Amino acid sequence: MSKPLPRVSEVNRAFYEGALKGELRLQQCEACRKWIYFPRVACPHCLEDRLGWVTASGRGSVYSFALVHRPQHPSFNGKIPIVLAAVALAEGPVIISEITGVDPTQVFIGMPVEAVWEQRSEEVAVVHFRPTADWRSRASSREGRAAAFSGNPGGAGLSGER
Amino acid sequence: MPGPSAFDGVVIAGYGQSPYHKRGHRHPLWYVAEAIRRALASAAVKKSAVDGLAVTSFQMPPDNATTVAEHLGFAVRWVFQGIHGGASGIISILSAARAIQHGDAEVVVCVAADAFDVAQHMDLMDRFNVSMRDYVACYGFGGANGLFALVEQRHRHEYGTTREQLGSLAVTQRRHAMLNPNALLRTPLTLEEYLTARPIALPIRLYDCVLPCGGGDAVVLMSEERARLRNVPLVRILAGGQRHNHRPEEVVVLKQGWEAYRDQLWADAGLGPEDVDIVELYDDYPIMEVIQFEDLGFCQKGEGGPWCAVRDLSIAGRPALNTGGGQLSAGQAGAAGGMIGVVEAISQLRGDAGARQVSGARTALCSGFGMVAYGRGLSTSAAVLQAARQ
Repeated sequence: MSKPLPRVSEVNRAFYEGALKGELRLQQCEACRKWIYFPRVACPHCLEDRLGWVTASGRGSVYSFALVHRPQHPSFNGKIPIVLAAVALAEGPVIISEITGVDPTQVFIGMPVEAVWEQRSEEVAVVHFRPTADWRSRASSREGRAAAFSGNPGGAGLSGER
Repeated sequence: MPGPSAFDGVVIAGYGQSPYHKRGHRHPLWYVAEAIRRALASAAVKKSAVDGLAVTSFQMPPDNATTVAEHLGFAVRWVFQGIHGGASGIISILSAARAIQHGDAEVVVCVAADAFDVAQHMDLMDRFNVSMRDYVACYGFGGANGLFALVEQRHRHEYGTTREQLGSLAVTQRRHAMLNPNALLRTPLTLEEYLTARPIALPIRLYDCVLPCGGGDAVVLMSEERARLRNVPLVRILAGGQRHNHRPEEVVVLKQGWEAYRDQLWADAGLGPEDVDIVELYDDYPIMEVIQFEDLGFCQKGEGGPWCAVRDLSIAGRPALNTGGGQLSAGQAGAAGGMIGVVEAISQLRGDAGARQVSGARTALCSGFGMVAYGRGLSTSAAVLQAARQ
């Protein structure tokens, strides 16, 4: 069974064209210069419709995460738990995605991550994030990880996030 | 005594709840009809007197509120369709009250109903709106459970909220459900069982999640003048509020729309959080109840966890929380989740709640929350209700 695919439209075509090249493209408003994700027809800050597409750094940090044991669609059942995450991109927007390429129990709030791509069809690649090579140096505490599995308060000593 | 309320001249004169069924084995419209039938009987109103209809149901498309009027034979001059998910129930009531105040309708029925099972609910989430369909559903995000796990994890990170604190809410509500013959989950639940339950989207486990089911809830509103002729106990709307797309630049939102209008809500009601006997919060997850206690002014932001844990929120305490068991233990019949708390509050304020009756209950706060979109619920609502003096 195949995984659900986004619909490519006039609104998001540039994002998915970038995805096929391994580029994480964000919209940036040409009037107020703010960064935008998810793709819009007009700037949600100032309503200007002159939105440029800019290749972002692809870097960010984990703002929050969850270990999904019951995905909403059976196509995901083969790789449980899925690490669902909200990633705060270096440019500002927060993107909902998955963390892959790491033991799920190692993920923590503040973990530095970078974009990687999963080819889903000829037209669509989906962005995931994996820890950057130096992530261990940012793991100043294990509380954030432990929090997902116990009743302890989560991650009070973690750095990297406000 | 508070001054004249914003909804003066309008009262809630009746309420009704259909039987709740696991795996909703009747058609969604059956739950709509059954809830309306019971609400009209409770208000001592004939069907022919209804001239306004508000309907909220996720399963209605391609039908809508107008075609529900057709199906059930209501000739009306005011129709409302809830488009705010679990916030719709209260919003439909506030809108109906305005319509009655302005003479656009005299007798309005507000109903919310659905007939879901878990698979249908997950399918709904995958295509709930365009941002969910195109930017979230391509991941194994686990439906609403996954998104609210992100909220809980972040709340715990920021404020130190614990699983035990959240569990105390689920355990209290289960005790209430055991006194509610129409609740679907009526076996005892211990804190230990809550903490060690099957993982769903950690930190969220099984008893953080609602049971999708079939059911419907309805209320009847009319002018106070008209209601006085009927000899039924009446409930007033002291205040109400709604907000959508609060904090538009955030994705994982710990401060939700209620914070924008809670001061006005309490000012309009002429009382404060400490004065309510009952709170019927939108309990899609215990973490959202904690956030509502914070954002509705019961405690400071970040203190919701400890506040809940040290308080008696049972029907013997004040305030009593989700006195019928809430969605967590009575079941979430789709859009009816936004009305079940209102119906329970009215039942309490009329003194009809039987074994779970809160003694001397006079004032209730109800809240709604819904329309999950890119990582967050967009819509919040709240209302303060009070039993009218006879």
